[in-house]
Amino acid sequence: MERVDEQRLLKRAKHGDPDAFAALYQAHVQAIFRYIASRVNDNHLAEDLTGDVFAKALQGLSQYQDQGKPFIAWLYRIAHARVVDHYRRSGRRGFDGDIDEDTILSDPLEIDEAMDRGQVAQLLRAAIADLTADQQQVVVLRFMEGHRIEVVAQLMGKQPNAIKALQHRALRTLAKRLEKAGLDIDSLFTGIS
Amino acid sequence: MIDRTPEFTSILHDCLDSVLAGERSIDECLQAYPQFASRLKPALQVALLTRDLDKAEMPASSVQALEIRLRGKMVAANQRAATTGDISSRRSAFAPLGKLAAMIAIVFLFALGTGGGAVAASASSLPGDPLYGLKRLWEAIILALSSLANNTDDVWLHLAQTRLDEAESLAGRGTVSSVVFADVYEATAQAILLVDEATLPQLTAFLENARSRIQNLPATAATAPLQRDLLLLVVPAADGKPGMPPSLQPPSLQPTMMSIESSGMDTFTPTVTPAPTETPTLALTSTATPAPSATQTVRPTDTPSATLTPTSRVPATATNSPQPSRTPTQTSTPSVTPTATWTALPLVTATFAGDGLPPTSAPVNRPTDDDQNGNVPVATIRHRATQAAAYATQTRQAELETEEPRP
Repeated sequence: MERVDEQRLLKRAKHGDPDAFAALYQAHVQAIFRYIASRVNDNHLAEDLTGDVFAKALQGLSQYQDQGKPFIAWLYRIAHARVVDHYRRSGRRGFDGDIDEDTILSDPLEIDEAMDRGQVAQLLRAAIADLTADQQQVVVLRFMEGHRIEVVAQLMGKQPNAIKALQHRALRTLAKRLEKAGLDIDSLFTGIS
Repeated sequence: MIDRTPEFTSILHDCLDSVLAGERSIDECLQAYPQFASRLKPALQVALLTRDLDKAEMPASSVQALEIRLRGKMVAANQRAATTGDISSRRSAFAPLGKLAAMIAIVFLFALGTGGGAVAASASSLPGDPLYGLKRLWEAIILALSSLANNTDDVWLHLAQTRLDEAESLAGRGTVSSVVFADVYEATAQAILLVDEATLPQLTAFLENARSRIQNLPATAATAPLQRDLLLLVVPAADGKPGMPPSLQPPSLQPTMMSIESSGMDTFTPTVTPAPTETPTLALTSTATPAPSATQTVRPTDTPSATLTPTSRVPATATNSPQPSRTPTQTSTPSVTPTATWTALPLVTATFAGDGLPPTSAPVNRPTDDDQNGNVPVATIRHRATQAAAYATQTRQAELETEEPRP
């Protein structure tokens, strides 16, 4: 969505135009859903949380100020907060500091050459969902959504160097988790989806 | 031992950019930075694995269901805002009486035994007529009760039609009024804000029809800005749907100037400020006598201008008010108290067109003071009676429009 179009829709939505808000919703709902789904690793839960995000956005729309950032940046922040809140309520790990690198995945997969690609993907998603909140955000925005470092920095409200550091730690942690799970990443690399 | 983490972080970033973009392979990066190969390789591989994960997608049915819920929330919030007047700081002249007061008023009217007849008689009254106050009172009752029947949007649409009919009828009498234009604007804005799927067709038809009717209304220097505001209000947005009104009060009556947003076009963000009470200038008023004689006419003081057309065709959205001039045109002077002042009315004259032709619009002499013998000229008597009637109307309306400043 062009920035100018987004600004016009935002102004109309702030004045109570349901169609304008619906247009913004349609433009961003899948990105927010993917983001949440990648972090919680549960599509049904992701749907619920996505609904919460947009309800929250609607509620706070009158106070929203365009500070030069795309609207989705604000949505990501709400989504991030919602996921963190979900983790707190559910008592799940993944938000309070770095993951203990000696932790074994709860359901280690039996590794063999015929490992199902879907199972590997499931393992990787589980590993992502177990990262810290900030690391999850970087992984999802950088590699799954394909944003550049500068954009990720803007969306997360951090400096690019901080994002690079988060990126580094996240990838290192994921690689170690996969190795601990017995995955031969080399052999899997070319055939995984 | 030198911590080469910052260096590695930067190299990793560069390699990631080029590998993810398909500009380099992993092996090429490892060859470029052999000292970091053991650390680079797994990081780059995991990044590609993550990129290639299937993208989760929310089912279309879930997307649609969520959209419906969100729309419902927004419409409900709009209705609440319209009822409490959050959109505009100006209290609506149609402020609901409250359900209890409405019930009491209905019982009172019918207990008198004449309420129904009086209300019916007032249906055709126009601003300035003796029964017009009763007509507006009845409308306020209906509006207050409309929330019970969940048809407030229908009521506002009907009121918008009624106000426009009144404006045309007054124009037929030779009267143009800022207050009338403002009332048309408010009722139309309310109808737009509250429209739902059921009333959208009727609203759209009304707005299409209203455009030419508004254009055909005579304009004066005082009413032209309001007429422009109205035309902008009824012009649909780019998608063909009614554009959102900036407020319930015409922008040209706003007391403070709207700020200009730097989006490459003339856009305005209305500022929410307490609206000073106003006593709009009535260009003309009807006499207090039951019916004007066939030979007595009342003329506007200003020469009506030609049919008004909008200066641009930008759709009337909540943010667009395509006025070439950035200076607000205020047609009235704000006053502190609602009843302390009232505007001296323009000329009223008794002219006699023996040939039955419509009178000219030339201004006439003001009524004179009492003559030397203490006799009051007929014209003066009528003028004063007219003034009194108009004062009563203005006072009532000004009282309704008085608003406490917001904290």
